[in-house]
Amino acid sequence: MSVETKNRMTCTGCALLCDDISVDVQLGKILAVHNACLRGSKKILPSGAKPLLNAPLVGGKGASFDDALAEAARILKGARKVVIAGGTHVTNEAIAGLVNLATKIGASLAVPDFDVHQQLTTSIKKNGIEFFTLGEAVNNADLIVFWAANPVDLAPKLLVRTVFARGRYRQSGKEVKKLAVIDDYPSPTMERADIKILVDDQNHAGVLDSMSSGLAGQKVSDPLTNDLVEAFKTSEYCTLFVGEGILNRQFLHGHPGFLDGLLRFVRASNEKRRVALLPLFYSWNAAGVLHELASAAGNFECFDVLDLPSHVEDGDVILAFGSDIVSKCAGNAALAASGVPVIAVDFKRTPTTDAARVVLPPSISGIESGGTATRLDGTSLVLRTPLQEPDGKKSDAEILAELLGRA
Amino acid sequence: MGGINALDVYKLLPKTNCKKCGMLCMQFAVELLKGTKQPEDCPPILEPKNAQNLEKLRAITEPLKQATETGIVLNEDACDGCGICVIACPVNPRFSLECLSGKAPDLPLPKGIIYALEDGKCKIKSIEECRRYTPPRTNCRVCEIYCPRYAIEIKT
Ligand code: SF4
Repeated sequence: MSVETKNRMTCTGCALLCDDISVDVQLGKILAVHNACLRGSKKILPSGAKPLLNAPLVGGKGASFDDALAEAARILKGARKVVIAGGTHVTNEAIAGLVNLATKIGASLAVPDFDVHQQLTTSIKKNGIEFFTLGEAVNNADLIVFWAANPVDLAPKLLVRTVFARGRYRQSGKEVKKLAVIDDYPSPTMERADIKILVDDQNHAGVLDSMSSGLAGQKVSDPLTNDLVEAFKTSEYCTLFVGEGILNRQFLHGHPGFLDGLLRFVRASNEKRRVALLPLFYSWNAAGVLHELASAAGNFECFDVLDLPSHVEDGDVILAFGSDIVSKCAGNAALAASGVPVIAVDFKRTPTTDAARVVLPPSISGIESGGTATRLDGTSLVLRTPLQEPDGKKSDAEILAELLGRA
Repeated sequence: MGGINALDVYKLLPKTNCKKCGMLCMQFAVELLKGTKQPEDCPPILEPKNAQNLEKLRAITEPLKQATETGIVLNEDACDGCGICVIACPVNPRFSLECLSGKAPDLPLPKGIIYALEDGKCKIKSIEECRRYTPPRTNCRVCEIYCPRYAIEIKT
């Protein structure tokens, strides 16, 4: 049987959701991946993935989907309070299903980085900041800044989709776009940047202060920060990616006021030029969760997945949806051993599926089943998949719909 | 010698625009980089007062004369498939418009594409289209300059 090449598939390796991937397929197996980075290829190629789960499990033993769903529904019905964990590694349809399920059964949602999202949303509302799309970074930006963000490691093709792409008003690409990186370690992204600012001792606030006073016309003593201030002054459109280095709970708790200060700086800079901001989260559908939560806010309790152990009381149930909660938070190892029933929906074997009472493996989103996902800039994309869904498997959204019907 | 451009070469020339070589100094600098002219084609540079600059020019142009191959060495172990070489290479967009917008071309790859990603690693496909290879040869180093993993090295 000949090899079939499928073009323009979507990669769910990270939040960039590259949609220019080509995949060679023969007899339902993926042979080669073209145009994806190493991270994406590892996700798409079968040899690169973690051990996969092919059939449902109940109490560690193989079961039919029907039996496993019935057992999951029985556990959910008997619970006083259910905590649903995850959401950043599933399709938009599944996220909507999670929100519906949480509303219907009065469950709480444990979302990765939730407290960061919350602070960010509050600050953005307060300061009236605009996000930008990748299209604007390609077509309009002449200064692209990565602040505490390291896409070369975490979303490897982001630089080609922004800095190196030639755009409508930036036709010579990198030649007319300046790349600046501010970080507290010499990241690979900083390696080839035009302006590199290595922040001492996590003193991001110091850099922000110097930049603010520089833009206000005062003298900036550090020559590199001064270069960045000059680049800001002469730029027409600056796109600022803000990354995990300053968007994590430890940093935000340790540096209260920094985020507000940064957003105030962006707003003030906008008086003379256009400056837009985009937070960078790398889980492939982190942006999808943000959007769903923004529209459903207030309907249920939401907290950070790291706080899960303190939210689970005896007799409660955890529904881990595409999330390896046992590995994610140290306290959860004890939780796994404590006998709190866990229902895990995951296609790969993890410490969480090992500890789960019921395991429901969905087909792999973006490879075996489609749906939609939200790219890091808020654009929703259809997931085009190289393989057909194997007989007898269900997508994450279908599993949720079944649970919703039965719970 | 990474990143030598026509302006760097021009600075080493007498900059008198005397046209004894048949052209202006800046144009001569470009031709030197292409390998179509040699430093000795500029009579004033042979004068003793310019001996130092002549040496420097020879150091730049000598490797280009010998460059029958492009001299590109790929270290696949270091590459993580960020695709910067695919998009930054000035030749790739000539064969695939997608490269202009930062996306990679569909398969089968258009003939002439130099860099492409396969299983997460960069591969050289049509070395004969490289600007270092086809006459008039230029000392292009774009892929080497921008690779964040230092996975591309140009030996000449
Ligand atoms: S950058 Fe992200 S989405 Fe694109 S190919 Fe790599 S892992 Fe996949």
